[in-house]
Parts: sequence; C-alpha cells; structure tokens
Amino acid sequence: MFSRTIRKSLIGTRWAPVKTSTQSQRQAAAALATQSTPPASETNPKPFIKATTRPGSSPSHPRDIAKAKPQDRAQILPSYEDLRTQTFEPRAPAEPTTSTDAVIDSSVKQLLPHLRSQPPFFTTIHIHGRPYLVTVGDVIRLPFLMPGVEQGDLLRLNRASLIGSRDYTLKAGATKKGETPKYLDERLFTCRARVTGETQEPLRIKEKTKRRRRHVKHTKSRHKYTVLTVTELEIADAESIADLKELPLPSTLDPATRLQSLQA
Amino acid sequence: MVVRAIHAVSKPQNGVGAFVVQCKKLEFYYCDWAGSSKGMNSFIRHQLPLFAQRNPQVEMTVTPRPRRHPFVRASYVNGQAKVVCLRNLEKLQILDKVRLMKSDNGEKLKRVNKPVTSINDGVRGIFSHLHSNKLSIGLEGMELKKKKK
Repeated sequence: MFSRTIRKSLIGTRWAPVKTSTQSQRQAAAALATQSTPPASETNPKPFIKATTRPGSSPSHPRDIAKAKPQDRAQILPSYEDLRTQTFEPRAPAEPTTSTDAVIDSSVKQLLPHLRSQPPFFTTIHIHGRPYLVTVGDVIRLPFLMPGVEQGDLLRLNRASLIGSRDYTLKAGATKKGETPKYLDERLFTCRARVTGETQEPLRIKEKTKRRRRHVKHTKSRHKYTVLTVTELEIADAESIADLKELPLPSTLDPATRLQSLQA
Repeated sequence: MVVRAIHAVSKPQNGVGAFVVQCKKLEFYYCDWAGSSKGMNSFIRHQLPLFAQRNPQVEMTVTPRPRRHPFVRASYVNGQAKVVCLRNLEKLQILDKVRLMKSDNGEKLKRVNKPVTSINDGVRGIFSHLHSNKLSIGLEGMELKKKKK
C-alpha cells in the first residue's frame, strides 16, 4: 500500500522540464547551498516556489513510469529515502484553472490607483480552494501539512478573490453554483507568505464503542499542520496597469518566463 | 510632568521581515548496545550529517546513554524544551520526528479552530449603524410590511 501511495503521488506530480544531467546537478547543488544558509541572514529573499526534482538526475516522465514493467519501476521511481532527503529548485506555480479576463475592465484601471494609495490592505487568498482573509503579518495555520516546502521558504500566493482597503474593495467575478470559482488577475497584486514552520495538535483520543460489547477502543491521532506568515501584500502600480491590456495572459506564457515575471 | 508610556512603533513578528528559526538546539541520546537504539544509531550514521549540514543555525549534539532508550530533546528560543522518545523507530521515522521538532516554534500544543491569527486592527474598521448613511432607524420593518401587502 505504501509503495502504491508513493507511485500515485509521483504520477500526480507535475514535472519540471528535463535538463541535461550536469546542469540539473549544478542547479541541485545551488538549491542545496541556498537552503543551507540560515534564513535570518537573507536580506532580499527571493520567492521560492518549489519543484519536485531529484538532485543529480533528470526526472522521469510519469508516462515512462506508467509504461514500465513492475520490476523496472523500482529503478525509475525514487526510493522512500530519496523522497525525504531531496532538494528542490524554484518552479512556476500551476496555471490558474479559471481563465482571467483578457481585457481588464476600465473601472478597475481607474480605481486601482485609489486602492493602492490607501494602505493597509486585506485580501482573501485561496489555498486548495479554501479562503483565508489576511493582512500583512497574519499567521495562517493551514489545515494540512504542505508537501515539498521547507521552513523558511517564501511562497507567492497568486489566487485571491478579494483585495481591499478601508474604502475600496476589488472583487473577482461572481460565479453561479457549481461553476469553478474565479480569482483576481495575478498581475494586479503581489501576496507572499513565508513558511514559518510545522506544528501539531494535542493528541486526539477517540472512544470507539459498539453495542453490547463491553469494550471501548481508544484510537489516537495527531494531525500535523504547516504554518505560514504573510510577509507581503502589494497592489500593482498605475504605470504597469496602464498597459495591462498589452501584457500577455499568464496562461499563454511558458513556465520559465512566468516564473521570471512572478519573481520580479 | 505627566508620565507617558512609550508607544511601540512596530511589533516584532517573526517571519515578516527577518525570519529566525525557533529551534536552538537538538540533543540526540543513543545506546550502542540496546536493540531499541538500532534505528537511532543508523540515523546518526546516515541521516544526521546531511541534516546538520542543511540546518547550520541549529546546534546538534550526540551523547551516549548506555542501557537506556534513545531520545531527542529540542530546545527553543522561548525557553521551552520538547523531548521525544525514539525507541524502536527506524531511521526515516526518526528523520520525520526530528524535522518536525526543528520546524516547531516551541509553544505548547493547542487546539486551534480558526486558521488565521492576527494582531492587526481590522482594515475596514468596525461597523456602526449610527454612523452609517442610507439607514433610517425603525422604518425598515414598516416598509417590509407594506411590501408584503
């Protein structure tokens, strides 16, 4: 069952483009070097969006894994140990599932500078579809353990349904029941959060009973959670909004260019 | 002279500007002979060097503790310490436990129902019906009754 879980998660993973082995080795070493520096010494931390790539070897395509015979699969798949000790390199986040509007509404262009001039801001960001209303400095204890992130990593949160100040609120388009939710255009704002750690909850003890059985079973569980701190929430400035119509849509960019534009 | 408190200009929030890892020290205790330390000894040999290399901000010590079960003690910046017994665990199970202790902030475990905690004031302010416009007090009910008819 365990190996099946790993295989499933591997096939479900989105893979970074395959590079030559020397290049990927160098990048893995660079990633290791950046990870081993203490995060406190970072003066200008760059966003660190995670990729699932094994160090020192180019990743196999999930298609190859699916095609391989069961006995060969063990060689293609990284071992249990590799999965836990691997390093990661920055990668563009998944493309939005909902399409953003190609043309930004004129009212947005007109009112966004007003919104921008009135800090502090709040936003409703969505992680795995769940909304979190946050301001800068807020701590989010996610209801799950986020895979592929390390303590000290900086994440860019690009799905928000709402951004506002005291007097202005920018909302993503309304959706009907059953439709996929809409998010704000990721070019209009920047929201970053730092992974500040992982915590647990106190041990849960559930009493399991059955009728007419004079026995109570106690099942124990303890969930683990990832903790994020919102470090940055900014709204795009008027100049970049002015020619927003000419900017390419995020979904039309290739992953590398998109990562660059997000890191800027 | 009136005594006035000095207003705090900013509140320290770890991670907002600089981020300091809250775990200061990890102490590993093992036994050479006992079977319950088998996984721990393997962890110290194979996993710990890389783990220590990747976390230079955490002090790590390895101490023999003969004829006893192995355990790890983590000390945190807030003065708390957490101890986890590691008897009969395999090296990767130990790695998971140790990673979690390193990523923890040292606070006592609590059940949290709300995902977001904030020390900031509400951005939109507090709603006051007395200061809101377009609201005539006591007349809404009457209007509703009229509409129903």
